[in-house]
Amino acid sequence: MTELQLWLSALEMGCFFGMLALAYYLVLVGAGFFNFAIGPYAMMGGLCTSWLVIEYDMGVWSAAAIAVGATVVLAALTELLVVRPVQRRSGGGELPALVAVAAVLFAIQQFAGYVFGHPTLPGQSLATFDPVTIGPATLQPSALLLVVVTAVAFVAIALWIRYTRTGRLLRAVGDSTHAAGLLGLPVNRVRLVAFLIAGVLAAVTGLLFAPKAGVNSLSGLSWSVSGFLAVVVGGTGSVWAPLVGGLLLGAVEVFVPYYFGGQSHVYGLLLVALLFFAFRPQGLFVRMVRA
Amino acid sequence: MAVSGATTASRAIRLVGALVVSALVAAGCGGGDDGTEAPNNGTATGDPIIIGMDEDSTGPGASYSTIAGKTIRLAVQDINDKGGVMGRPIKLVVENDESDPTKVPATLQKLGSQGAKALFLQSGSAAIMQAKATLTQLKLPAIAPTGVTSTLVDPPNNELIYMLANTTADWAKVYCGAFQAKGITKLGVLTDDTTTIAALNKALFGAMSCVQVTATEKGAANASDLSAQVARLKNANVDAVLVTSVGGAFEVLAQNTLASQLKDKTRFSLASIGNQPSSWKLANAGGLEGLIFMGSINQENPRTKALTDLLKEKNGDDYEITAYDAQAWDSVQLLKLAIEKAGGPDDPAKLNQAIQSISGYQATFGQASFTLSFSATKHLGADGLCGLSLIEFGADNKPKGPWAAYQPPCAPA
Repeated sequence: MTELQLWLSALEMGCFFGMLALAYYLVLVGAGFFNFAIGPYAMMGGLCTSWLVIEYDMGVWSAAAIAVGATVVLAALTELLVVRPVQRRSGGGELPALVAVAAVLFAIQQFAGYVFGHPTLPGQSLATFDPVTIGPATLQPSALLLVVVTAVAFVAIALWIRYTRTGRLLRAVGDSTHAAGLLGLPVNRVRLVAFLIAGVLAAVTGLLFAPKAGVNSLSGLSWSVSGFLAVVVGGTGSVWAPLVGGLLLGAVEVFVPYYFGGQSHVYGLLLVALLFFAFRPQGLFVRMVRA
Repeated sequence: MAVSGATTASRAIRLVGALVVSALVAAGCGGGDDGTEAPNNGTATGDPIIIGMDEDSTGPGASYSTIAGKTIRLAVQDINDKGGVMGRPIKLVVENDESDPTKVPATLQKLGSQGAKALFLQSGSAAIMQAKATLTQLKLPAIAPTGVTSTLVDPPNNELIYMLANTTADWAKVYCGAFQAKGITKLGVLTDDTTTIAALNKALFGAMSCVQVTATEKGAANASDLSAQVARLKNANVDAVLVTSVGGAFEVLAQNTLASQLKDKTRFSLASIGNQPSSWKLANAGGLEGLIFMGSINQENPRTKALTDLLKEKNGDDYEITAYDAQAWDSVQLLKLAIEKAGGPDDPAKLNQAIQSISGYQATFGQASFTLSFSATKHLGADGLCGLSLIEFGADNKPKGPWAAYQPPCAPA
């Protein structure tokens, strides 16, 4: 494991997985279930940005702002029109909501294919500087930006959850939605905030990662799975858990094929997922509760 | 009741608001002409001649199938505008098998049931291989405009299927000439995991004994990272790398990674990357520079020049013609010619014989003297190697012209 280039690739992939996992984490903490539409949100952020730049010669920053805005609207609609009514009718049941967001995942992919077309579009880089050379390795501007934004996002979310009123409310609602409701806390507003921030994080992640290999309307499903696995590995015991899970998966994604060749990373990821599901389903970080 | 009514109204307002926002998002982010509108009858009258098209609008073949599909529609519209075939308009019916061999029989059956008299198959090689038996069952002649694997038109079940361009057997000869010219003896291969490329690799490398393939690395067609595969190729100390993929994001990710991690090695590729201008934009700055691909567009061919002008007129001045465009255009013209020779589209046996009687058709791709001919035993149109040329990418990630180190010999047809 001496190739610096491989470590940089693992770091980039890890940050990507970690950011998606952070979006999952926020909805999980605030609303108590896995929002499998995170991948399509990320796809929408990258695809809409590219589409606006290519089709309308729009500036990258303007296009990115519109794409993030559109994704946030989608995230809000997921909560207001799908999850909330389904949970209300099912008495707060988790499974019906999971099935509903799975349907949302495919609906967004179909919608994106219809609106933006099916071919892969080139990702638009917000960074305009030259690639950074580190010894024998090269880090692309978009990769560097992803790493920096990941660090900033995790620090900001950690501070927000710990020190702001909304952040503390998020944890309170996540701990017990029923108790929070009885105490008169604004449960619905807090849940909506969780969806909105998750939408922003996913959209930004998608548009920052898209320059690496492009983005198409079907990218969302595999991105959803990657983010979910990072949450499974990292756990939900800490806001940093998704990052640890993401970085571990990034290392598996890069180093397993390096040592075992071909597409062995698929088996590597499957093995990691099975091991965690079987022996540590709560992930690496477990939330400690004082008795 | 008043509270309930207010709640209902509030809910309705929120729902309408959400729908309006959705509509605005859709209007703001999407729409537009993507070139997939069905051609109209133009000035032609009479009963339409229905032609089926198996077009991968999604799936691994979408990167090339949609380019060819767009030009097929353009060619059909052009024919219809000029009075049609024997006064009758051509009507296209379209289905998609996503290059999935298991979906092919149902897809072709569906096209047949819609009244198709002949088919265009723009799917992956593995899917088209599967199609051969179904064509025999349906008794429908078919042209594979973008096919390049010779087994597609080899027996068995090849009575009704035709291809235009030089096959992988010819590609192997050209690559071998290039490797000998550059003294390349150890080759590394980076390949995607599609069934189409698996079939192509088998045919290509089976005919390429001139070089030792010392390392073969595979990645998923939707891979996000190939640095491990390229690091393994680097460790194998190969003289050059050949990327075999259906193109699109995988190809560009591979070239970006090779350009970054294996700067000093000569890179070769198949035809896909040269025929997918939209993919060039995916590459990092200079990521394609020095890449050599199997091309077949030569602007000294007057028919290529004429089609280029037409495509630019229809699609804008920045449109880059590809071999897929030219082969799609020629496929439609060949079918038109065959229908006229057969006296109509309704007798599949006569239509098939008419295709086999076409000889010396001057192609819109390849060099000026390049022609296509068919017979009962020759279902591959290309007459000689003149349909191929090794093209090199420049620093601007666009093809800059023929590779100076080697070009295939071009004997007159």
